[in-house]
Amino acid sequence: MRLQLFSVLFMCCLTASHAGQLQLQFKATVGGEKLKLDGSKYFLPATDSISFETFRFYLSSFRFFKGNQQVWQEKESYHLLDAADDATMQLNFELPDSLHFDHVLFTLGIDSVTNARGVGNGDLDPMHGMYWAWQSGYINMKLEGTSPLCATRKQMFHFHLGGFLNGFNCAQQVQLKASGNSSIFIHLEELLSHLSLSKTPTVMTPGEEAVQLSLLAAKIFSTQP
Amino acid sequence: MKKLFSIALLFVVAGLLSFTGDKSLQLPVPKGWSKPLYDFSANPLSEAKIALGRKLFHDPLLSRDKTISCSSCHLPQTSFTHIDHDLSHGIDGRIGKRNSPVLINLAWSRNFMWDGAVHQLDAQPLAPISNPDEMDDTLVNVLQKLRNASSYPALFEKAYGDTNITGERMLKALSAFMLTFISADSKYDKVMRKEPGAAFNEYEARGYATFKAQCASCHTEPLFTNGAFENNGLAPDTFLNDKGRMSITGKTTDELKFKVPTLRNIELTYPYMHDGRYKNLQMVLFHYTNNIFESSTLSPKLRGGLQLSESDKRDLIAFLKTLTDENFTHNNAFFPEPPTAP
Repeated sequence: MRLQLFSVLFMCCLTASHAGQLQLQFKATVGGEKLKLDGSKYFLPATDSISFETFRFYLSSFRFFKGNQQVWQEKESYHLLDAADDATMQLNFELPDSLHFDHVLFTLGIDSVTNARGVGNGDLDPMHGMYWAWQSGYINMKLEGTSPLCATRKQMFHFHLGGFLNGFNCAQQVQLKASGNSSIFIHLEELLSHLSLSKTPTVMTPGEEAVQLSLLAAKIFSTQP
Repeated sequence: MKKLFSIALLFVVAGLLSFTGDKSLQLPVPKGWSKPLYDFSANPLSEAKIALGRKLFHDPLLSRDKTISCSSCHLPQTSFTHIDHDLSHGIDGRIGKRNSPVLINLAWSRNFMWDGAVHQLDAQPLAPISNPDEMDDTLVNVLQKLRNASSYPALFEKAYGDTNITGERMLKALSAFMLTFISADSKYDKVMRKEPGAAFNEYEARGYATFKAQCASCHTEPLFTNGAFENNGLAPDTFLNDKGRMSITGKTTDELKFKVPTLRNIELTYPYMHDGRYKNLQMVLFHYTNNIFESSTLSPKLRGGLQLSESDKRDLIAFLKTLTDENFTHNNAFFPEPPTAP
């Protein structure tokens, strides 16, 4: 895997020696600690104890700005990030040489135009499990785990956020300051502080709840640790 | 100049190599019909893709225990529905909550399922594959089974240029096959095309006039559906408690609304309605004249029921039977590929 990555990077250097490489490293954290999906327990004021099993999400439509001016945008910009697979949490962009930008804009989720086209390939292939079968459309984000607060089977919570029709569009824009290689932290404790796991341990359908949660989820991305 | 030529030649050769050796096909659009809604630019049709889709459609490998295929509930000989069954049957003899719809003229469908839960044809097969009452499997597992099957890698290579088996490729091949289900060769079509010798008899002609006056606002020609969601006055089944379109949009104004089905091949596709409650066309017409369940979302055209005499009904049924397209139900290309001699 590592060898593959190296050879890919090597090829990139060969074929795009004039382009600048930009890395955005996404880091999911819980109360300042790296998110682990191995059953590790976290203790948060809002949730008592909590552990996580799944955190996967789509980021799409990366655009780079200098002031109000868009200076570059990624083509076919769809990325599936999985906290269980570190390699997916680092995004590499081939920017034109000597490109200056001061902030980056991207979408948490898959926009409605892409959704309307149907099923895609690569990261958008429905075989990655981020596509709803019973009511079609991409799942923008999956967060699953357990907490004693959940009065559900195995005390599990499931948040599958998505939907793009009928006024329930869940894709959200995120804007962050960045001018070069950056770490972007995803503060899950902030999202959890707005939730009541005892009242709402499950959101798995498009609708108003999913829209509200998506708005909150878009706010937990930050360049601050 | 010479260099430029050799570069151009290189591109041509590369183009030929990436070509899968199969001419892309154009879906034949019947004369006078609107442009298909399906976006063929994202899934160009080819013989190889249709052949792959045909094999997938009839293959029970797509279900958990390899007992149920798409054609288990969508039989080509009955216009791709499951006749005699009010609700569709799936794996382990389990029973679903709706009548399996016909698969006809799908390239002109805006959305799929009785409640429009699926917005694009390529995404449609995911629902029955994963529904525990239908095929009860997962896409990931089905793809693994296809990769392990002896025949599929070669069929994917023919269709797509390499043996890689992905969800997108499988779904688009199924779409390619289903898009060919065009029914436009019934007696009605022949009469409309003014083919020699094609004419309605007096019953059919009167039935057609009644149809245009009373039914066509929803069952609009030539597809015999307007693609909309309507409440056609069926009293809710308290066991199934099916809210229809409302379960998708969350709007109370969509309560008890279901997609207007096409009437093409209606003679063959009993029982009728989303829950298969009516066994024959006489019962359907009795519903529209005598049995309308009034509620706030009822289609305004049905308030108070339709006014049809017994002879109107007889004529209407005569007309509806002119929508039967035997070239469609007997089309060998829709049935499984016959086994080749060893």
